[in-house]
Amino acid sequence: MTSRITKAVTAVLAAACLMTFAGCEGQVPHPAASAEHTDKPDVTEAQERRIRANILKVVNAANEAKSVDGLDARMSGPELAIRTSEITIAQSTGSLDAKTNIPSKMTQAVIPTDSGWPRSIFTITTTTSDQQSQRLLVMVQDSARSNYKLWGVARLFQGAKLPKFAIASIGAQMGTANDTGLVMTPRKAVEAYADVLQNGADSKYASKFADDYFRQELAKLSQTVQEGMERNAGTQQQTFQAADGQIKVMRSSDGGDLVVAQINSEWTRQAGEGRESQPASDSEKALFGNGTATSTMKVTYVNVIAMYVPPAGSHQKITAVGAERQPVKVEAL
Amino acid sequence: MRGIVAPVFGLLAVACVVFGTLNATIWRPSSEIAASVNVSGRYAMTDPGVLSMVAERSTLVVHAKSSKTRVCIALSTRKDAAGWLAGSTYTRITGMSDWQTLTTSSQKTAGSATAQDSSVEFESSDMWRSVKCGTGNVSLTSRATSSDVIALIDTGSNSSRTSVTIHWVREKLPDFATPFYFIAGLLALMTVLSASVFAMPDVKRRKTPGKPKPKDPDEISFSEAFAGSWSIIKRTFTPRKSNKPRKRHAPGAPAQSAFDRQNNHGEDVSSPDGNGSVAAEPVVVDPMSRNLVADMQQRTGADQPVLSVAAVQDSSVERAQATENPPVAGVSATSDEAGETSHHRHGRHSGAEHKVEDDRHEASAPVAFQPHHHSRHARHEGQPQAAQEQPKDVAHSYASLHVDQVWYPGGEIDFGSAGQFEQGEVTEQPQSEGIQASDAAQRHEAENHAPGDTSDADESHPTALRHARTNAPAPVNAEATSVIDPKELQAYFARWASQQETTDQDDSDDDNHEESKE
Repeated sequence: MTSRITKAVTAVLAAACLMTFAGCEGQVPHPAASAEHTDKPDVTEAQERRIRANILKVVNAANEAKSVDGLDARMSGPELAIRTSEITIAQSTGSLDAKTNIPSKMTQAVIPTDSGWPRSIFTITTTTSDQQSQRLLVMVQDSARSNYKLWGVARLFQGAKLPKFAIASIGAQMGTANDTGLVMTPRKAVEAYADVLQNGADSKYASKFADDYFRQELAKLSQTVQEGMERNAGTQQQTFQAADGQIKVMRSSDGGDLVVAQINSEWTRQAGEGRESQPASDSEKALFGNGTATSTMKVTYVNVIAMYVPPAGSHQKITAVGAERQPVKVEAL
Repeated sequence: MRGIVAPVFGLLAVACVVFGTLNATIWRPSSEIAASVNVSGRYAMTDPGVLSMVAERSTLVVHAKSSKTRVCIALSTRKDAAGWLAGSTYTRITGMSDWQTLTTSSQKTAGSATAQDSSVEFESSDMWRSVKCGTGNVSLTSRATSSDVIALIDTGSNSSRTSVTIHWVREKLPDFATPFYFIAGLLALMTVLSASVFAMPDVKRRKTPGKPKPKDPDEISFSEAFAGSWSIIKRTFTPRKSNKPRKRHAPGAPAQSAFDRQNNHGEDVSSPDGNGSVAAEPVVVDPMSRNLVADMQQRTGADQPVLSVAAVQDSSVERAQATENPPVAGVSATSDEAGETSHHRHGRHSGAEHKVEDDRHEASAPVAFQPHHHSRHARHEGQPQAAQEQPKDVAHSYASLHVDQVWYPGGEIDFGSAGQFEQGEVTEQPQSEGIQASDAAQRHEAENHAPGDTSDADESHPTALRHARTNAPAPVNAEATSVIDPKELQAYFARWASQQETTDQDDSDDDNHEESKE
């Protein structure tokens, strides 16, 4: 009996010893300690592509429907006003202007690494199918719980030279309107450019800016209208004003800033005695609709200006690289 | 032993093979890992790195307790998720406590929650890299190429209860079988060895079985070799009895120091039946490498011009002595040696006796050991002061040119004071022809000068004359004697002592010849 108990105990002990030879799963792993990467780009290139596609889906849907409903879900800022105007004009003219086309493919995406909101993504598209110039898209996410919206679109000038940015997988850095170390702070540069647009070569800032296509076209248009007004003994006046807070800045790798800002302008044309002031273009006519013309007509424009502000000491001039201009309101005073 | 050890090794080897096989098969670590945890609340978020801590590819499965609960899982970055969770409380999945359990903690993010009406739906946010929503069970696969990807879970309600499970498929499994196989191999080898080689009797394993190797009588044992080496080492590191610096050849070193050392060891050196202590170092002074001018200058003082005739050999000294001081010429070396040996057996000496003994000792020792004393023979008052300022090299070369003869420029040598001493000595000399007589004379002299001051004795008995009456063997090759080998020196002393008598006779003959020539 005793020997049987001894044998049983021995067997149990042997089994217990054997179990120590049994394999285990190995050491429990732990998550990598240095896992905090705050300097990663805010979105991946795939996300940027998806975001842009989502935006364009909404925009194209509105274009096709010629309805501005739902545009605000994916559009904001000056681009919302411009697109609303364009669709409104299209409603009366029957077709969208060709310039409203936004290519779906991009050539470069500038993705910031900044934490916090709002965040901006600058994307340069390809040329359009009808060989229009590239578009600079500015997509902005105002908060974590909101989505990216198309804030601004500027058609890049032919031959415009954009600064270099860090590639999307590395990520660039967003600037502010008060960035220093530049020829001029971005906010000041926008105000100065508005002054240059208004006063032309007479502006005190004229020497700070390189000549650009937008200024030339605007001066040409103004000159033409001026000649017509003079024939009718009328007057015309354009005022340009930088829209407060509507400015997005992205720092380039060479130390300069690419600034996209909204400049509002009002063009007031007063006809001569006993005459009516009429809309100056099809767009204005579409916007004016069936309004009663008076001697004075005021047209409100929304301008989106993209300009490169070089770093201080670089002996470069501030250069406008792209612009968009759209009348948003025509009223007879 | 053979019957026990070999089977034990064999059994252990078999056991290792068995355990290795078991670890490779049924005990093999599972490649699929599923760790889960129960989570309550609306949001749960994994820490960065949790999704990829086992394998790059992971599948997150969220099982809602209520089948109506709509659950969304999104992969994002921590900063985007933190923006989304601003002001909310969430469950943080921090890692694994074991292979089946995830660890969690509750956390509240900083910031304030945005107004719900302006926010987009969770699943339609642009921030997520991928998002999946569903009711009941929702799973999302992540291929986290970087560890900053996190999973954010939104259950839609703060009261919802879900079970979160992360599945991984391990590509690299821990291998427990190979060590067992390796040990089994070693044990098998031990089995074979213990059954064969180790089991042999000792005599069979050796190359020369049976009788031990006969011992070579010339071969020293280890203990002897060690003892011999140890005695040499001990002798090398034994502290010297004299505290004086070992500067025998240094210029300006007190010449007396050489004497002192010689006296310290004098008894040993002169001991005829030399034991091991005979090997104590005698003072060897190389005249070629000693600035004798400086020595003399130091000993005699600046007022006494010195002619640097340094390495005068004893034979020439003998001749010079014979010419200048004929009465002293007949001093017999035998008596000197006898005096020296007798005196050196005294333990202590007074200053004057010391000096005398030095002289005796010098006379008996090989000449190469005390060249600076011979230089005193050349002391001359009429020597211009410029002679002292000769450079060392000149002095040396000059000395070497006068090996066989003493040159006294100016002709007149002052042996006045010495002459008095010699006279006194000479008066005693005729009585001391034999060994005993010489010994008695030395003692007498010692008694006369014992109470006197040492310096007085020096002044009254200039060393030049004391050397003049000494007798010395033929010139010794300085190069040969510069090698300090006690045994060789001892042998040399013995040879020299045996030949002494004959040479003494010859020397005296030579002196007589020279005297007659003069």
